[in-house]
Amino acid sequence: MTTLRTLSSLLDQYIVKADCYDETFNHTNETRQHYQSLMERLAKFSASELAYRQQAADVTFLNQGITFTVYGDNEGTERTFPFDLLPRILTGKEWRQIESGLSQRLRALNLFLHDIYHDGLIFKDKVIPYELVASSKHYRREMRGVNIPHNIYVSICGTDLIRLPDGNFAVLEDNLRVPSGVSYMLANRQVTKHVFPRLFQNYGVRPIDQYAQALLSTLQSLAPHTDNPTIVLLTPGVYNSAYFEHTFLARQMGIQLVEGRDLLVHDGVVYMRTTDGLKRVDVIYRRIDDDFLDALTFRPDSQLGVNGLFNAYRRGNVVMANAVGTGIADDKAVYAYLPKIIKYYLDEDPILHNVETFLLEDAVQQQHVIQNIDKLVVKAVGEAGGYGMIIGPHSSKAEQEKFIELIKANPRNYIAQPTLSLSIAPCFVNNQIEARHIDLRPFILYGKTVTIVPGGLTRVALRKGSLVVNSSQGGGSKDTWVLYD
Amino acid sequence: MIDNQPMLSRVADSLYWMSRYLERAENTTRLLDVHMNLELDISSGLAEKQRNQRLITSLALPPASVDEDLLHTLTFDRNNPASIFALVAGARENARQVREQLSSEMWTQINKLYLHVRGTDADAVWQSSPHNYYLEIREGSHLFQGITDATMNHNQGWHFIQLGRYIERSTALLTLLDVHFKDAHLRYKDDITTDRYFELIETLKCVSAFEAYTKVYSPNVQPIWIVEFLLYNPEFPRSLRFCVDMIQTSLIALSETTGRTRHSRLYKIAGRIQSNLNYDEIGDINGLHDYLDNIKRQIFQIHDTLYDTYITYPIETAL
Repeated sequence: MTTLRTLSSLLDQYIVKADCYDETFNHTNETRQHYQSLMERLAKFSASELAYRQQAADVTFLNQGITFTVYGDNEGTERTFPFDLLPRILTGKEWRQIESGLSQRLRALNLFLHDIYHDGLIFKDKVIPYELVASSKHYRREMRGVNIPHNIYVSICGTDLIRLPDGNFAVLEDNLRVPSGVSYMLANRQVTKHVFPRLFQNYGVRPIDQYAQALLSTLQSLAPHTDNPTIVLLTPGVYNSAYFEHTFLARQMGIQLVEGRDLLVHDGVVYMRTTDGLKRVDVIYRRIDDDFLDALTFRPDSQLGVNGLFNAYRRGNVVMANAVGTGIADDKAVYAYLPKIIKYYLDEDPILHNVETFLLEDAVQQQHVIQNIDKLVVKAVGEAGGYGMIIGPHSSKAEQEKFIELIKANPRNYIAQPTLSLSIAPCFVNNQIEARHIDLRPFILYGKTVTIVPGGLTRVALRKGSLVVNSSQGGGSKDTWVLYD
Repeated sequence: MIDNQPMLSRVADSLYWMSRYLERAENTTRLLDVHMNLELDISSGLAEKQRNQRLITSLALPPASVDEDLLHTLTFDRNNPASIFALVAGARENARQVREQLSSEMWTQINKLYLHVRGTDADAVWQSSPHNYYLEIREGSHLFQGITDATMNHNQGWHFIQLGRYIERSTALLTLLDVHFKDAHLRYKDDITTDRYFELIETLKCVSAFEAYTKVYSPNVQPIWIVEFLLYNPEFPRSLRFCVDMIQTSLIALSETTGRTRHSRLYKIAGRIQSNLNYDEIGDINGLHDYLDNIKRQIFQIHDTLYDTYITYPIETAL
C-alpha cells in the first residue's frame, strides 16, 4: 500500500482487491506503465481542483441535455448519465486483441443468422439444437428464406466485455438488436478533452470522432439500389430512454430522424411524408425492437411502427439495420454456444472467451444452479439493461426463492453464470479517488468491412461494491482511451 | 454541401401548433388582464355576468364554460384546454417533440416559461398581482419570439412558426371585434359615455393597440376608427392587414423552398383577403358581423389548405 499512499493523499481510500483485476495498479501496487502519466498528473491536483473539473463536466452534460429516461419511475424523468472524470486506458496491444476477437465474433454471428434463417446446416450437424433456437422469443419465423443485402444481419453491434481476474477479456453479452450508448462514448470524449486538455494532448490517444461518418458509410453500403440512398433513423419517439442518442446520431450523420407515423408503405415501397411530398426511403437505421416494427406482421397493438414495413422489407425494397430477427443471436442461452458457433463457421478458436454459462433446461445443471443460487448470477435470456436478473451474493433469501420458482416454471427462459469480479479502476467519488468495478462496451460496425472505432463505453458501477454497471441501475460511465503503440 | 433536406410533415405540424398555442396563451393573458382591470374601473357598466360572458365569447369558448372562479380556471386549470397553463404546456410539448429542430436557446426559453407556469409559487404570484403574473407570461412569449427570430434559420420551419402565429392572431382578432362591435352602429361621430369610453380603451388594450391607435387617431376614441385601425392598418403588428401580409409572405416563401405545385390555391385565398383589406373602406361595410365572418372563413380555409398541401395530403396525390 505504501506506493499508493505516497502517490497522493486522494488515494487513501483506494483499496486494492486481491480477487479482481486492477486496471491501474499491478499486484505489487505499482502503477501500470500506461497509467503512469495520468496518475502522476492526478497527484498534482487537490481534491477541490478535481471537484471543480467534475462540476464543469456535469454542467456540460446538463446544458447539452445529454440525458436518458428511467422507466418505472413516476417522475418520468430525464437524468444525466453520471460521468466519472478519470479515463480508462487500454494499450494498443490490449486493443488489438479486443478488435480481432470482436471482429471474429461478428463474422461468425452473421453467418449463424444467415444459416438459421436459410438452410439450417448447423442444426443438421447437431452443433446447436434446433429447439433451442426456435424456442427463443427473438426467433422470427417470418425471416425464414428472406434474403437481405450482402447477408449482413448485424451491422451495428455493442458487445459487453469484462476483464477477468487473470487480466483476460471475456464477452459477457452481445447486443445485436438496437444497442445504445455510443453517443455517451462520443460525449465523454468531448468533455474529457475540455476538462483535461493538456493531459489529453500528450497522451497519444486514438481518435473516435469518426464514428458517425463510419456509421453513415456502413448504412450507405447496405443500400442495394442506388448510389445516393435516402437513409433515415427510425425512433420510437421522445419517450424512449435513448431518444437523446437518436437525435444526436441523426444530427451527426445529417439524416432525418423519423417516427413510425412519418413513414408509410405504398405498393411495397417505403416513403416518408415531407412538406415536399412523399420521398422514398432506402435504408432505415431502426432503433425500434422487432416486435413494434409493423403491426401487420408483429405485435398488432404497436403504435410505433409502420404498417406494411415488413412486406416492403421482404421484397427487398428497403433495408433495415439491424435486420429483423437478430435478437436470436444475443439470447443468453444461444450465447453459451458461441464458441462452438465460431468453430463451426470459421474453423477458428475464439479469440475472446465466453463466461461460463449454465443452461437450466439441463437437469444436472439446473440442480447445480438451484443449490448454489446464492453464489451465482441468474439472468432472463431475452432481457438487457440489468432488468430481470439476480446476483446471488447480493440478494435476499426471498429473492432467491422467487427466482428458483421462476427457473422451475420456465427453465428455457433463464441462464446462470458465476458471480464475476469485474475489474476495478480508479474513480473520483466523494471527493477522493476510490476503486469501482467497470466493464467495456465497444461498438462494432459491419458494412463492406468490419469497423471498430478504438474505444467504447466504459461503464462504472458507482455504488461502492456494486457489480451492476447499467445506467438504469445507478451506473455511470467514463471516457475510454486506446493508445497508439 | 448545400443542405436542402425536405422537412418532415410532422415537424411542420408541431412547429405550427407550438406557435399557435403560444400566441393563444399570450392573447388569453391580455384578455384576462384587461377584464380584471375593467372590473376596477367601471361603476355601472355591464353587469358582471355579462362581462364574464363577453370574455368567454371573446376567447371563442362555449357559453357554458362560465364558472364562479372564471379567471382562476382560465389561468391555472390543467384540465381546461383553454387555460393559460394548458396552452403553455401544449406549446412546450409540441416544442419537445421537435426539440432537435429548434435552436437550443429556443428550447431553453420555452421550457423556462413552462416551468414558470408550473412553478409551485405561480398561484401565489397571481393572487398577489394578476397583472404582474400575466405580464411575465407575455414577456416570456415575446422573448421566445425574439429568440426564434434571432437564433433559428429562417427556413421552412421558421415559416411554419410564422404562419401559426399570424393565423392564430388574426382569428383571435376577428372574434374580438365581432364580440365587441357587432351591435355597434359604426357612425363617424358618436356620443361616448364615460363607461363606454373605458370599454373602448379596454378593447384596444386587449390587442395592445392603445398607444399605436392614439398615434394615428389621437385619443379621441370612436368605434368606427378602432375597427378601421384594427382591420386595415398596414403597420400595426396585430392588425388584420399586417397578419395577412405576413401570412402571404410565408406562403410564398414556402412554395419557393418546397417547389410544391399545388400551392396556387393557397395564395389565391390569402391574396384575395389581402387585396380586400387593401381596397375596402370602413364606410362601405354593411353588417360588420357578416364581413368579419366572411374573412374568418377564408382564414380557416388557409389553415385547411395549408394542411392539405404540406401535412395531411392524401398519398395518391403525392406519388
